[in-house]
Amino acid sequence: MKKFLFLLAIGAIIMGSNNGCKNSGNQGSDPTKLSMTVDSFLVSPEKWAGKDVIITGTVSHVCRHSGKKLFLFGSNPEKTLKINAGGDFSTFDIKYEGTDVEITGTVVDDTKIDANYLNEWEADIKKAVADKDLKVCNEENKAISGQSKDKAKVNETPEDPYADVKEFRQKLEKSGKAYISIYAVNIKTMKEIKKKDK
Amino acid sequence: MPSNSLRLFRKWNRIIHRDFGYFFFGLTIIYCLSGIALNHKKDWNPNYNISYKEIALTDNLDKSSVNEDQVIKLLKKYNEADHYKKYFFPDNNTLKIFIDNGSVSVDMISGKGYIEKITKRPLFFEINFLHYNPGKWWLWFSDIFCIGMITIAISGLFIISKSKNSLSKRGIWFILAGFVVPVLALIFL
Repeated sequence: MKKFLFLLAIGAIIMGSNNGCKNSGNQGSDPTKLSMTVDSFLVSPEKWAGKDVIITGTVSHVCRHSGKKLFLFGSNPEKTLKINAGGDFSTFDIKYEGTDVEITGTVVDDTKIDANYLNEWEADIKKAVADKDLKVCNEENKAISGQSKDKAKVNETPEDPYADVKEFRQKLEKSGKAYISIYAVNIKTMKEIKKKDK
Repeated sequence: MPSNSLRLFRKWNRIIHRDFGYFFFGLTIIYCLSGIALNHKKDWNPNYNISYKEIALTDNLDKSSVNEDQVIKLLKKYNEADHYKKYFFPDNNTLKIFIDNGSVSVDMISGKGYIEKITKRPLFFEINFLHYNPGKWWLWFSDIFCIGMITIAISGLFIISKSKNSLSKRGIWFILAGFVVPVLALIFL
């Protein structure tokens, strides 16, 4: 009987916590969110910092290891935006790759590019250059580069693998700041945009 | 002769230790297995089996002329046409085609490329999903699990009463030894 009472008490705690969660999650969506494409977001991402946005784009990559981030592109696949897991998504399923999606979330100052970051980035490139068979996940750096380059430069294929690092070093020096902010979106919800019938 | 209150304490301590241990057995195994899997994620992919198949195209591809029909024709050669989702050009020389559970990457200059196929690792995908905290009520359940583990650990200290193996004799030295490793880690890592 005592054993049964114990299990019952544990069950009651779990049920109680479940109800609490339902209440806290029932906030609804905010109709005042700003809606845009990845392209328009990347024109000046700092403008949206801290704001709730709705962004549409195509998923170019889902992180293979953690599933905690995915990358979206708009009209230019070389310019991507990082989306962090959260909200309805503790991790992202790889099935979203190649899918058009609409994401709601909050824009955050995600990465601070400082001298240390650039040194590590340079070391990663050195490794990849030394071992051509090494399959390196470069999506995060690509998303970072996308917020630095202007549209005209993006379409060039740089011969120099260190071009982005050099560009950031110059930018950092010119800015006189300790770091450059790179923005990402902390996801709340995501829905697939189905292809229209032809 | 122990007092009544001490006897009552020991009795309930045993019940708590035993029943919490039974109840949280499954979750302990889940968190420990996924913990090992995720600890070593630099050495392997704990969530997915990823395979690569090298391909070499004989047809010349050009960014300006590639279209969906051509992409599907290309996929047919590798029995992937039914899995086609979308294609794009990550850069001027690369064609990337998304297929169900993977992708095809082709260097349009050399014609060389690979098909990447991804399948979920059975069991590990599911337990890692739980370990990563899927939110909602699981957050609270995993908190309860942590409190349960603390309770099991504390109640375990008082299972053995007066003997050479009790907390105050053998137990205390093992507890201190257990703290040595994390302290060393804090000093030297």
